Amino acid sequence: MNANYKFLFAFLLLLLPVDGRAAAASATRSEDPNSAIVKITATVQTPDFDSPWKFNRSQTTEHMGIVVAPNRVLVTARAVGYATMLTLERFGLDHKVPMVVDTVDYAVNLALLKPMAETLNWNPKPMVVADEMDLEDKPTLYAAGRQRPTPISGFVRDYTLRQSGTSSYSIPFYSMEVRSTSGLGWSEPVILSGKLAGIAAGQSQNTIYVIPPKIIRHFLTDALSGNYRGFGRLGFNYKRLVDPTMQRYYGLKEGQSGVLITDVSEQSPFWDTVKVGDILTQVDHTPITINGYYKHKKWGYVDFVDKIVDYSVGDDLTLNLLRQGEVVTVSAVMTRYLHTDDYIHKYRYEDEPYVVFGGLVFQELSQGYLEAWGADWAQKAPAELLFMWQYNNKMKKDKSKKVIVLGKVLADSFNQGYQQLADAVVSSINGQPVESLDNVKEAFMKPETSASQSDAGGLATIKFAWESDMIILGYKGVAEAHSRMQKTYGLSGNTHFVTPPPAKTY
Amino acid sequence: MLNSIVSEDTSGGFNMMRLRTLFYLWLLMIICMSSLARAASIEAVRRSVFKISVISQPAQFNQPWLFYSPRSSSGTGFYIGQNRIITNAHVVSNATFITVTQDGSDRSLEAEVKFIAHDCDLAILQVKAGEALKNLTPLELGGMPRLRRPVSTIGYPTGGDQLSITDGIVSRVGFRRYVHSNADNHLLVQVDSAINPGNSGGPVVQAGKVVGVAFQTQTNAENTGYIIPTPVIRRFLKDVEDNVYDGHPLDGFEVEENIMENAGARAYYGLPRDKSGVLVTYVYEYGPSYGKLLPGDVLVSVDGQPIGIDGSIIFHDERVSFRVIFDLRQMGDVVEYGVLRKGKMMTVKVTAAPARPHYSQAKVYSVRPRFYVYAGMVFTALSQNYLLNWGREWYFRAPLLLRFIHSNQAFLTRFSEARDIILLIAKLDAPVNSYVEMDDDLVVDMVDSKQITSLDQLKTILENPRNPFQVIDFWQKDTPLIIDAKSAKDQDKTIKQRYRIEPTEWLHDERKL
Repeated sequence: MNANYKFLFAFLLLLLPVDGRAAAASATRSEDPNSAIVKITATVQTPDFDSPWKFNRSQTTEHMGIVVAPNRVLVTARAVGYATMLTLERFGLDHKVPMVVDTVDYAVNLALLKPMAETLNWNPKPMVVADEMDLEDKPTLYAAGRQRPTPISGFVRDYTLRQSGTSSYSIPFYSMEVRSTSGLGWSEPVILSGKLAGIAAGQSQNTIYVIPPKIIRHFLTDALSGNYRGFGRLGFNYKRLVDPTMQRYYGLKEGQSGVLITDVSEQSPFWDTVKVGDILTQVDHTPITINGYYKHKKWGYVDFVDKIVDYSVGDDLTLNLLRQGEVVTVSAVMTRYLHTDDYIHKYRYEDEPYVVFGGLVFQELSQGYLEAWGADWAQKAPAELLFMWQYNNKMKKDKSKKVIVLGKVLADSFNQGYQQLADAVVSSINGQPVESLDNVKEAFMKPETSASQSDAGGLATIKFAWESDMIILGYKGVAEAHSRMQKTYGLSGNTHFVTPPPAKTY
Repeated sequence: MLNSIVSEDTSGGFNMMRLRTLFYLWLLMIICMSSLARAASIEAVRRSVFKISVISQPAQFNQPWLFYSPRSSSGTGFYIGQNRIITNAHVVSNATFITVTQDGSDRSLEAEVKFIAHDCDLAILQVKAGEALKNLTPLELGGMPRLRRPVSTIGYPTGGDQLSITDGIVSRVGFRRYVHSNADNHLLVQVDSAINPGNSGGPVVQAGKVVGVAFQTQTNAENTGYIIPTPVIRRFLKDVEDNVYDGHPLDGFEVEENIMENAGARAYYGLPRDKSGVLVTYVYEYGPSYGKLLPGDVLVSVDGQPIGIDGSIIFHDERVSFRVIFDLRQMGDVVEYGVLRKGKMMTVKVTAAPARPHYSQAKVYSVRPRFYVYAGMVFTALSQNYLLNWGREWYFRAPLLLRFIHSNQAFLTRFSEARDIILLIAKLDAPVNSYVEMDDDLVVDMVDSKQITSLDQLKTILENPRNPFQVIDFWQKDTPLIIDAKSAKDQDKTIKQRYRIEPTEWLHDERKL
């Protein structure tokens, strides 16, 4: 071969992209039609908790999304909560693709989207999920730019358990330090060595909280299998056993370690086998320290709850306990935790349920309801409601049990005399305890009667948990009242009125 | 015709010019006379008005073995005869030293509190050197202040040292909260003249007689002042005739107002169209109405006066809450309620009695908080005073669990009969408690599985351990506090010495009104 050709050949060889980083870079540049990083726009309508038949003005929120499988895009669940429309856009192109939710799990704050029309009309190479990151790793977070994702560098500085952001379930998060967090925390992918090492789901000061690969992998595997099982929850409250006095009292001997179980939820798979006062010493044969940590291969000491997210619903989990000095081993099958399982949950992320009877608006107590009192709702909301939310919020065996409040009374001649009542926890209607909106409907269907009141058409009596005031309403005229209210208050035909059948036997 | 009179005769006799002049002179005389009269009546009373100077030292409810530094304040008082000067309770609360200076005098005299009523913010002082008050004219109490009539407020408001008189109009009568104890409502009259701190305790005068004692201002509104009207003053003076202040009687029940606007409720209770009333919804066990009135009763009248749907009666030509009647009674008086019970009209008599709920929501004064310290742990009783450590807006800012219990304790079975609602408020660091994690919502529920209802009981149990470990459970909290009984006993005294806790406890029963 001629020397010039050799030179040219060598030169061409050098131009071949060889190292992984360059490959990753080309995968993320929007000019590359195969880019797996996309923009997801959500049109969001949150319910007006003050008037639950209405929605607040719709807002548009922008998130990043990552193609993780053919025709499947990963985002945080927060992106899809209360969304009426989801649109995918590829960077640099104006084409909008309508998307729908394939799988969403608010417990772990992750969602998988798919195109409304069966397939996306382009095939980017799906992003592969990386291994776990290490302290001081330097991944790149890709935020929304105009024509292309903007790379933001940072480093990983912590691995801690936090609430997922869309439920009370705790999952591990990386803390990633970046120079400026402004506008970040909206599903941005965090890439290390060309692979997906996390998805950003919140921020605080200089820190971005990143959902780690193991949660993503667990979620994806389940979602793509077609049979989503979800994440299990231990359902314990526990206390670190660092106090030597407490150690002696609970029988923790020299060389032993564990945490003190202080509460077992009615929905815990271990609710009938683990007792308050037990010391949890091992989870699946992994020892737990008195601080509640276990030895993580990369991170040293990590909160033991980190191990629980490795288990799927349906998996067996074995715990070792110390009960008054005796070793006890228990096993149970992990059960699903849903974001609405809490007695007073954060948000439903779907239509907010309610029931209206004669202008009385009944709703579920939730954090969303409390947030109607504004930014300092945790101080300004009524103390009785805050008390229930903070101190009386243990999960019930029967997941349908909720705290029902009379939100307000829509003033009408029908309910005169009661129009100042609002935000009151309902204890009973017509003598029947009220623990769900279904109970409310059923109870109204059974009016109390009184011999002298036959012309009132039967009576509804409503009593409250923290108020000595009560409501007594005659049923007569309730249907007409509902028609009037539809006009006066602009309630739609879909409003959930409870109208008992016309009086026959009352 | 007038014109003809003028033109006809200009030289003497009846003359329009002279008529007009006479008219103006007459008008001038009336004006001078009325202001002279007012000035004269003020002159007559001013010498009976005193400036009161107070040094006070309230207790620190969050470090209950301590007091705050002494502070000085002033107010006004007036002479009512028998060596008594009347003023507001809040002027002399927590006082360590009181002096009074008569208007026009150059010297101040030491005085002491003879009677103090925190529930209605009134107090009676007596001068220690009795003779000095002998030549005073006592101010006379008049009737109820008349609405829309002028009143004069006399006193020593801040911004000067001399007696000052402000005029205003009586603008409103109501049954409202007295902020001194911040727990009870009484008859209250609003005036539109400025009442400043310093004016507190001064006489409010109408037609030469006292119709009220000036005492509160509304912080948000301008030109709004409140006065304690004569019926409340008279009730106070009658109450102390036996040398003991018994206090305003509590009627002890809750009512729901406006419920009878609803046709369904009316039909249910059988309240006829021409009658009105309010529904009894709850009767407190400690109160005088327990066993007499029942939830479900409809109160239609009180002492013969018909009660409106909104719970008001006509009281001196104004609509005021029906509760004013019971509130103005003395202990032992009988009040008659017209009651509709299960469709039948009847009369129920309730005798005013000195019954109080176990937990008082009122602010307290001149008392030390009840507290107990053991092994460096500071226990005290919940009170409004403790919650006030979180400032004026404590009902939003104080820890949720505490303000929730404070407002609802009558309905919380755990606390409704408790002598003390016990809080663990602080930890004096020492080896025995170094692992104890403090929080702002630690309400003692049980010790060694025994429910604790008083600080005395807590002390007895903690100081007489039966087991090597003592377990304290807190209300609505999962994690107990475990104490090593022997270490606690050994270290207790040393901790108190090191932190200079003195007294080491205060368990006296000093609940006052």
